[in-house]
Formats: sequence, C-alpha cells, structure tokens
Amino acid sequence: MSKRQIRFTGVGGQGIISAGDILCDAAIKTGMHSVKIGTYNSQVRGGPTAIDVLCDEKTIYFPYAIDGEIEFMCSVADASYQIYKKGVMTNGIIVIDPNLVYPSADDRKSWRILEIPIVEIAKNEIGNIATQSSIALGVAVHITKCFDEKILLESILEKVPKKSKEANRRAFFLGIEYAKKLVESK
Amino acid sequence: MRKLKASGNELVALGALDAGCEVFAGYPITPSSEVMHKISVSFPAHGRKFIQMEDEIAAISVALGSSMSGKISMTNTSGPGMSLKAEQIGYGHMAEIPLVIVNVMRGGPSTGLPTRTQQSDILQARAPTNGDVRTIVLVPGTTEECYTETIRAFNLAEKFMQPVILLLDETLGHAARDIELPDLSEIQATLIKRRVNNKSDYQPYGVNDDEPAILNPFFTGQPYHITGLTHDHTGFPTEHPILSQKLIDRQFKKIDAHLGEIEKFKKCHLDDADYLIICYGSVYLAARDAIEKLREENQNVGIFRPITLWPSPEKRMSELAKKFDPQNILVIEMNKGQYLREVERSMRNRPQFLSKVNGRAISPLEIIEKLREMHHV
Amino acid sequence: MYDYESKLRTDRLPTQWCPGCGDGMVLKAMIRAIDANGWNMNDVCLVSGIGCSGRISSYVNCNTVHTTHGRPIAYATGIKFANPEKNVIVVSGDGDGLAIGLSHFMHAARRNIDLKYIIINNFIYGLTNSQASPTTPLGMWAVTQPFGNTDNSFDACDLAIAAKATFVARSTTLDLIKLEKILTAAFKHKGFSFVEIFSGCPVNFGKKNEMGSPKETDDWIGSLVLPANKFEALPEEEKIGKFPIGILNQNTKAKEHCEKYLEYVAQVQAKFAEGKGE
Repeated sequence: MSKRQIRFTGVGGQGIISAGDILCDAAIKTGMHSVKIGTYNSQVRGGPTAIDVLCDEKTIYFPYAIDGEIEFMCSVADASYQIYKKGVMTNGIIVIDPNLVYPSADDRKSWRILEIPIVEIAKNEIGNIATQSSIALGVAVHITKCFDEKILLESILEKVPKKSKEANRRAFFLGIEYAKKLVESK
Repeated sequence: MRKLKASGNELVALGALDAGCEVFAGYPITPSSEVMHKISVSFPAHGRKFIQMEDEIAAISVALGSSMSGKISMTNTSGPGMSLKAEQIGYGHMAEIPLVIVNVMRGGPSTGLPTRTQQSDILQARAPTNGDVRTIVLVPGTTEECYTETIRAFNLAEKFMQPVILLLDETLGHAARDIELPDLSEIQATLIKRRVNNKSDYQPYGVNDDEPAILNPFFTGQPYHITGLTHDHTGFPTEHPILSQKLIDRQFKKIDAHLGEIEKFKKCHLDDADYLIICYGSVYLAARDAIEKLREENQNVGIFRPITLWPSPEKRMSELAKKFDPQNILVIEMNKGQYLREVERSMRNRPQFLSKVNGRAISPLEIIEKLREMHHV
Repeated sequence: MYDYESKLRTDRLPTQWCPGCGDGMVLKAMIRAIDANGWNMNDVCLVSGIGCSGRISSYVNCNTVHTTHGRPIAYATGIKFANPEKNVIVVSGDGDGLAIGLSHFMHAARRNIDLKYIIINNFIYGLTNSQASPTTPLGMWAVTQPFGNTDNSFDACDLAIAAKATFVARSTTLDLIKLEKILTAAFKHKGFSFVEIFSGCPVNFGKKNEMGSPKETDDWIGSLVLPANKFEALPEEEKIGKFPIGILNQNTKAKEHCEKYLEYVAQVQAKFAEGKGE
C-alpha cells in the first residue's frame, strides 16, 4: 500500500485534533508507520485548525500531507474548509458538515463532497457534542477503508474519558452507518 | 528497544527523565509548552522536582541555582524566551554551570509566528548573551533524535560544565509518530557524571587550561564562591589582566580542544552523490523525501546535516567543498541564511540557497523544483 | 569576644564597603543570627544580587553565590527547592530587590518558599554612584533626580505583606542587638521570611543630601522609624514618611513550598500506584 494522506479540519476546540491523533494510533497498531501533525493559528479557540495524518508501510520523513495528494478530508468549519480544501486531490473525498461548511458549485465539481451533519448528530442523537470526532472517525474508516474498524474503535476507547466511552462507541458506529447510507445513495 | 508514539516535545520530556534530570523549571511558551506539560506529570511521579516560575528569567535562574548546587537541571523555552534568558545564559557560561536549555523554535523576530515553524534562532543560539561564549547547540533532525539528543545534551552539559542549547523547530516539536528508542538501561550506561574533587586543596576553577571547572555539590564541606564576575581559580572576583585573559581562554579551550567529543553530523547518500544538500532540523525530513524521489529518477543527491550545529563541523564542510562544485551545493534553511554564512565561511565558496520564513515548512517538492532550476535535473 | 572569624572568610577582609556603611552591621548581625539558630555553616547557602549588598556573599564562609542583578531570589529558589533541608539566605539591596528583581520577591512570598530574604535598604543605588532607587524619598537628591526626586517610593514591608509573606519585619543598622533579634526570629521562621533593614549610605546618599557625616545619615534613618505599636497609635496624617519597625506580620500556619511539594509528590505517586495516574 502506498502512502495514505488524510486531513481533519475545524476550528480550535472542536476536538478535531484528537480525531487525527486517534487515527494515527490506530494506523500504528495496524503495523504501519504513521505521523500526525497539527497546524494551528495562534488563537487557542476559534482559529482554523488542520491535522494531517499520514500512513505508510515505508518510513515516513516529511510529516505534512502534500498539497494535491490528500485522498480524504473531513471538515466541520467553513473557515478552515476554505483554507485547507486545496490540499485534497482531484476527485478526492471531502466529508463536510453541511450546517457549518459551505462548498461552492465549483468545489462540488472538483471533489466528491459528502454531507453528514456531524455536529448535529453528536448533539441530538448521541447527546454529547464531544463525540463528533468519533463520528468523523467512523465516517473516515468506512470511506477510506484505510483502517481496521476494530482497531480504530480500540484506539478511540483508549483516548476518550472513561465516562464517555459508551457514547463514543455509539458515535463511531453511527458515523459508519451514515457513511454507508451516503455511499450507497450516491 | 522501546516502541512508542510520541512528538519531539514529548520525547524531550522523556529524555530528561531518562537522563536523570532532577529539577525542571519552566515558563509556558508556544510551541515548547508540551515539554513542561509532560514533565509536570512525570517528574512528581518519579520524585523529581518540577516548578513553573513567574517568568522566563526566573525559570532559568532556578534551573541554574539547582544545577550549581549539584542537581541535574533543565529549562524550556522558545525564541522570545531565549531573548529574556540571555543574561542568565551568560552567567551559566561564566560560572560554568551545566544546564540543558530547550528552545522549540517558532517564527520570529519578536512575538512572530508563535504556532508556526521556523529555524529562527540559529545565530541567537551561537551568541545568546553578552561577552565571548563558546556555545554547544544540538539540532535533532528526526523525531527519535529529539530523545537521543536530549540525552546527549545532558551529557555534554555535565561534561563541559556549561549550558547546552537543544534546538527543535515547531515541526519536530509537534509532529507525533511511531518510533523506536534504545532501552533505558542502554541509555543509563552512557550517562556522564559531573566531576567531583575531594582533595583538601580543592579550588573550583583551579583546573588545567583545557578543562572545565569542577563544581562540587553544595553543602559537602568544601564551601566556595560562585560569581558572574570575572574570577580566578578560587572563584573570587579578579580584574588581574593575566587571570582575566586566562579564564576566557580556558572557557574556549575546554571546547575547542575537545571538538571530537562534541561534533556530530549525519551523511545520507553522499558516496555517489553529484549534488549536495546541507540542511538541519526538520528540513532534513523534506530533503530526505526529495532525494529519495530523485533517486528513482537516477538523480543522485546526497545530504550532509550537522546535528551539533555549534561549534560547526567546519572541517567536514571544507572537505565537502573539495568534492562538490558550489553550483551543485544547496543549503536549505527556514530562515534568511543564518547558517548559510557559516557554510560559506567553512567552504570558502558561495553555495545555492533555498529559504522560507513564512512559518510554513519547505516541502520536498519545493526542494526538487529548486534543484531542477539549478541544474535542470 | 564573639567569634566571628570562624564564620567569615578572613582572607577576604577588610570588606570593600565605605567607612560608615551599614552593610557591615548587617553582616555581623546575620552571622550572630545564624549562630543563634544553631545552624552549621556547612548547611547554609548565602545568595546575593548585584549592588553594594551583593558583596556580602564573598565574606561568609559557606557556599556563597553572587548572582546577576535582581535574580538572587530566583537562583536561591532553585538551590532551596533542590535542597529543602538546607538553610538559604538571600541578601539584596533596594535596587536589586525592589526594582529589577521585584517580581521574584513577590512570587517567592506567594509561594511561601523557605528563603530568608534580607533587603538592605539604603535609599539609593550606592555602587553605581547615586541613581534614584524605588525607595529614595520624595524630594531628595539623586544623580538622576538632581532637582529632587519626583517619583513616589515603595514600602517594601507593605509589598511583602500584600504578597502574603509569612514573616515580615523591619529593622535598622542603628541598633545591632535589635537587628540580631529580628534576624534570629526571621531565620527561625519556616516559610518565606522577609526583613527590610534601613541602612545608611553616608557616601553616596547622606553626604549628597547635606548630611555631613555617617552619624547624620544614621540620625536621619532614626527619624524615619518608630516601634510598630507607636506607629499604629499615630494619627494617619502623621504616619506619612514614617516606618514601623519590629515584626510586622507572621503567619505560622501557612505551609512551606518545599514541604507542600513533597506532599504533592506523595499524592501523585499514590495515584500512579492505584493506576489513576496518566
């Protein structure tokens, strides 16, 4: 398998960093090399944030995703979507939260844009907004097929607080369900 | 072998723990704070001392105070904090107090780009204080090296009795990945202990002209005086012309006579290379990707990267100058040429230069493009 | 005859201080207070800053550190934190401790780290020839305030009390016995102990403020101070420009920093032992 390049973007404080971190953990558990690196604005909260995760069977040197080579991006904030979308390869997949991200008609021609209201699902269906990263990971694992579902779930449960383990498990599977429905309907 | 996932900053914290660092004093500053975050857990958990001070100056002063008393010590910062610590770094050199100072570099000057990457403090690290000092500056080029160079920084500080600066850039500080580290027992076997002199005629600065001072631990029955003033072999101030000259001469010679123990660099694909890249820090990672790609196209580019940046591997670079035409040498830095001048000085020629100071990493593609532009490779 | 010599570096004597300077009085009282507390000189570290007061560290026969300007408390914090069972004394001047180094003074008080902190206040930058300090009284001459000082001055003990120093006292070099008593009590206190000592600088302050002799400078200092209880009894308007002497504040209940840290370490280690660490 060649190098896989995945990006999560949001605004500071949305928990997107932890999604990237967990994905990196899972890749390593699977036996791959993996690196994750965040790009931040100097504001702690509210600044556009991206986290790149690279996985490869070979040694990875340069830790950032290469612009134009990202196969999958998930975005839950328009400010960061607009800054970081150009990194995604032509016909690459971008999962967006349609309530928070507003792609143009041209964007929809350049990339396969899938709409999943991640934040709303976390809030209404799980009842815990902090589970949005687990939903995003569920979506990512189904679409990229990059990771073993079981190992990824294990990595999620290792990272989240004890009392929200169950909520995150549900969120992860709900993410997979939404992704399945979307992929089937397209 | 220990397998783990960690960022450079986290590995500096682990390195400090494994090197037996006993006291850490810090002050929050982006992008180096994670070093302190980790240590605020691991140090009390291992019965070591951790303290967050009121400012950058206090943090390094605490670390120098504990170190002079005999405890292995460390502080962390980033560029603006280095500026604030400047006077105390000079004190560490003058009084010959071992200390590891970690600077995770961000964009500068001034507050600059706090969360972005840059190799902004290369010249600052060479001359961080007033007066003549021979700094030792280590620059890891990989995530693993953030650990191994931390260990080496402690060893060099304790051996040469002076501050050692460990320079990470934000990229290395924050990128987390799977790595393999040597076992702790293996590391512990390499640790260098500070010299002690128990003779009755002990004088802290009464050493040979190429030797570091011997600061016995405090409270062990041989009281002595430490000052930032120019001092004689006893440690008391002097303005005697010969003794004043001798002190600074010795502080230079203790380094210059032992360059072999301090120098460290890595070569990559140099043997069959037609082109040479000189870089250090995280730029190496981009350069490595670039040359691996070019190799697939049968373009042979090699890398020379200093890990001990100061004192610079002057001789090695002058040897390389004999093998490569300056047109075929590319220096790459995330600054305006802070090390380029040293390469030019060592090589006595003017190599090509690729630079970026906008807080973004130089990508492998940009390096390939630059090489193509230079040589149509 | 009291034996100072065994505690002094006699080969460094005579001191470099000017005739009539109060710093020598502080040196004597400090030695006696160390003795009164029964401390072994091998368990004492004396840390000083920059200024005339900074020279004190070279005369005492223990581990001594002459640090950078304004930072002796920070260096001493490192020495004490690393060696909690040892006795660390810090000596500053009014410039060192209240101008460039004020922040460390306030934070050491806040932490309640067991440092014995002495500020020898001579109301001027003496070593560098008479620049105004944070304690130079209004209207008095300084080389940088040649037409009379226009800047308000600090009350160091008020600052220490505000920062919750657990021992705060003021004394002068006019009465060596009182000074020794105050220092003895300060050294005995477990926690951050602060003593401000009013001290004459006849050469670079007194003479230039029309006090013809060291005695006149001392008399001027004497006119500024009165015992704390008498000071408190004064009407507010008469308190201006006067300073109470004696122990002004003591809190023996607050925990000392190094002790607190050791307790914290025990708690953290217990958490890890239970598997509740990271």
